Amino acid sequence: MDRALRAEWVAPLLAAALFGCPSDDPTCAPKVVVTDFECQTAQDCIDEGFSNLSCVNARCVRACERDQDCVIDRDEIDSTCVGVGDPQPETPICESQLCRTGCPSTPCGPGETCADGRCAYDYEGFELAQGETFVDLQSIGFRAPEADPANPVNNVNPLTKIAQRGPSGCTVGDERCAGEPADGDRFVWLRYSPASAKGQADTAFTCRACACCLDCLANPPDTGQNVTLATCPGQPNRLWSLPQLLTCPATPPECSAVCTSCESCPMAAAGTVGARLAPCEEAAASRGCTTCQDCDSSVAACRSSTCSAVCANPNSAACGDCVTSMCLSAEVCVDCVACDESARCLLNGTSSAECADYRQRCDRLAADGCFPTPSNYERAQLFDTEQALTSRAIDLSAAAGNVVLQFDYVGFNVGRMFTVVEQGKDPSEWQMAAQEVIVQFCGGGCADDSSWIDGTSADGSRAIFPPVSRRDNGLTLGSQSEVDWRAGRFFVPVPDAVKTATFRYRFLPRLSDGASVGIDEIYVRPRP
Amino acid sequence: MRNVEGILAAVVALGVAGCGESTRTVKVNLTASSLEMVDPFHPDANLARLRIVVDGVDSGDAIRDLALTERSATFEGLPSEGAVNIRVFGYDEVGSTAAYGQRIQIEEEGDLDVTIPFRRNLAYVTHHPDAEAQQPGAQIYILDMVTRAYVGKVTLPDRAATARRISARGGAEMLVPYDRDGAGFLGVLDLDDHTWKTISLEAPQELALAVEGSPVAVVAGGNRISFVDVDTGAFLETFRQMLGGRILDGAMSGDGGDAVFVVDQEPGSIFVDVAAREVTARNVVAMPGGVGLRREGDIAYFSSLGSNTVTAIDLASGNATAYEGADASGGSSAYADGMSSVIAVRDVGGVLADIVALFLTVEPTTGSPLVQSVSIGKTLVNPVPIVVDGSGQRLLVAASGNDDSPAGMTVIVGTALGEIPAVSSALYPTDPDDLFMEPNSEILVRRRYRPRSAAIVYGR
Repeated sequence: MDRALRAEWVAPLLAAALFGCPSDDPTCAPKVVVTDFECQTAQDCIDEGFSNLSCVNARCVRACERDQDCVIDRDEIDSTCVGVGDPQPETPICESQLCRTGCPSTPCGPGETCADGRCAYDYEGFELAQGETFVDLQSIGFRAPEADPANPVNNVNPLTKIAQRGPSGCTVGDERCAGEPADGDRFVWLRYSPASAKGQADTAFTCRACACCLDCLANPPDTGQNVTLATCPGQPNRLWSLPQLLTCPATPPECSAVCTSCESCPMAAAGTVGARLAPCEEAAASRGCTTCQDCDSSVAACRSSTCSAVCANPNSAACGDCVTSMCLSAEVCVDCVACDESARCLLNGTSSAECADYRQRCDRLAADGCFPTPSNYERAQLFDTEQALTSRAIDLSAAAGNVVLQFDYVGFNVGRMFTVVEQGKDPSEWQMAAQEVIVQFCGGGCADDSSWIDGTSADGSRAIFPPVSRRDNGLTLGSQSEVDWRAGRFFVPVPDAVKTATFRYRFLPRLSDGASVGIDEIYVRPRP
Repeated sequence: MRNVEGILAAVVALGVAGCGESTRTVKVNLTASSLEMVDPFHPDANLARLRIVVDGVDSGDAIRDLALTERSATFEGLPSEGAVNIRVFGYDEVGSTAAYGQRIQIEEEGDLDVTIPFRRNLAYVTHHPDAEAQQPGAQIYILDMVTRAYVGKVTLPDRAATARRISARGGAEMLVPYDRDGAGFLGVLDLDDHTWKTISLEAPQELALAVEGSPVAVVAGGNRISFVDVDTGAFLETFRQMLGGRILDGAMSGDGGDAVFVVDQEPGSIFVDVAAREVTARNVVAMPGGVGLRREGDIAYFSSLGSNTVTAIDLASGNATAYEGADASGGSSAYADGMSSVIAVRDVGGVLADIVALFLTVEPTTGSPLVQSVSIGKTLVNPVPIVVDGSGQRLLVAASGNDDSPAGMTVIVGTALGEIPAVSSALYPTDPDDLFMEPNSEILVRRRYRPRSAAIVYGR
């Protein structure tokens, strides 16, 4: 037997031998949950007046599972003993199933702040700040670093939001009535913003033949008859609308004539052809329409003559108003849009005199009729940097020891696989990928995706969640409870390489439409 | 040095004798399965801390935290009188009980050297047969009680057989009555290595009960009660009097001396004196729906489908205490030691069933037994009998579902004593191997089996 251990258990017995048996009389128990008093059994603690403590690891202390287990409630304080004994620590916390004195009573290290009794380099619970009535991801700095300044409208995942418990009895299902958080009233609801197969099209006018060719490729006739300029685009029994082809098929024989004619149309103005076009879309966009090109020339002349007084700045509103009222009313410009407007009238079922006029003009123009065609697609697929929930910058430059990212999560029916849409790719080439949320870290230059590294769990595996064994749980937003949050605590060690003054973490979702994840109680803290 | 120790010993003896107390030493040794899927020390079990709690009726608690590499601990200075309970908790990072072991009510005197099988906190679940699936009736799932995740599965000794109700024999074995082609068997699954022992029964039966330390299992169902020796594998005898009704629930006392079954035929409660081979039907509560057992294995709590009463029966003496005041106490039930309450399931069939916490207390002024019922959540459709884990703080209700509702599972976790337990329901895990082509699509889908009964290692 170890001598030190023997001294520990001998001490109280020695005291008992010298001073008599411990008294059973009730005493005013010191109001503490942590002591250094040595013991062998809880009886030793009771004898010393620590009636609600256990003997854990030979010290009188309270065992616990949650922080609230360490709070001395009113029932435990004998009213005759108020003011007697040691005060309760300001913030007792439960760590390793033992009550401990938390911060600020226990001071934090350099660079750390005290969050709910625990020292951390950063903490986020998505709750309202004191005195505030509103909180969103922007206001707490959880926004992706500007990744694509050229596309500022697109660089935010619109689906990821701060969700709140909601008032009692509310109908669960969205971020305003999202059920139980891990703590407090709010958590973040992380979703994946899916890309459409194609983004929003910018258009340019092309000749009837090219519009016919593209329409024919998108909607090959099932009659076996060749498509001619007299009946296209659209067919006698089908209204025309702007086609959006994901891929270009081989030209069927019925389309050959119009597609060959397309090659005779004039070239479009330089710069007309943009990005993310399918080859057949690009072929149509690269050809212009004589009528509209004449309109362009007419407008240019009008701007420099009729509107010259207000068009010193061609981008001014006054210039725009002048061009619209004085230049675009030219016959050739009305002809330019006639076929497009006529088709719109037909689609909308409008039969006004104006529509009749457009129809007559378009018929009269015949092969010189002009139709819009996709000339460019805006990017509508978020980069990883934009898709992710990204933390504010955190100063870890003073962090000397092991640092860990700790958070609680709930998976809402995260399945196994999903189809990853890749705009500009043939849908048949789209890949299936595992659904998961990836934890990533960055130490600087975080606007660049290449600056991010995957986190690694303590066992060496990629830091992803939820694990495969916990997919397809059918859990919906609002149906989660403490059971789910407590089953989902996750720790990811922070590598030394990213412990900088501008450290960030992010959660990168790769989820199907119906899946999502709740995240709460995020700490960047010394490894407990 | 010897002299110093001698003096110390004398002083200690004086102290002890002067207080009229004597002490003893309790050494606790842990064993664990090497089978990866059930090994509590495997990384998948997420064990972060190990704690041994020794307590008894007359002694205070002594608690020791062990390093995860340690497998034994010695407690000194414990009172020498009274029964000792030893419980071993394996906590995950959050403090949930991810592994557990126990020896309860050790009555031996003097120093103790106790070996405890330490197990992951796992539920074993049997399934309804399904002709279109890959023999789910013979597949027993193993589910993690903390995460509800599928851990693995084990197959009956006969793949063409169908398992009935499963029950835990402490941390040692799972008992699974099963049948094939009209013949009945009792499968005994060793929790160390997942090997099977098979005992032939006279007929297919429903539910077997046995405890560690006592070899005799009582098997009910098929209109009879049988006795088998699960250690030797010998069939002992059948109680010949016909026993009517469908088996709803059952429990066995901690010493294995008494068993009780709840059936859906009046009077509804069947008591079995195992040693005397006596079977008695008693009217304990009106329309009993289930029975829960205290961790010590001495008190059984009967819930009722037809009254507002929970009745506690001391299995040794037969003394009954009726706790009045519930709205209606419910169907299948389990006693959650960590919450001092009976958790019951009120299932009216075809819809989500209510889960009710029945807090047992006494009326402050009169001292009359009182039960306060609180609805705490819902299960999914067609719940199977509720079970509680060894720690008495975590319960499971698997649900079979039906043609319109998928199978599910509900976990109930006690928070602080006296507080409302937390409840969460989720879909039942899909089978990792049983794939089928979804109608009108080309997508392979994993089949979701329908649970028939569940048992938790060391659970009740």
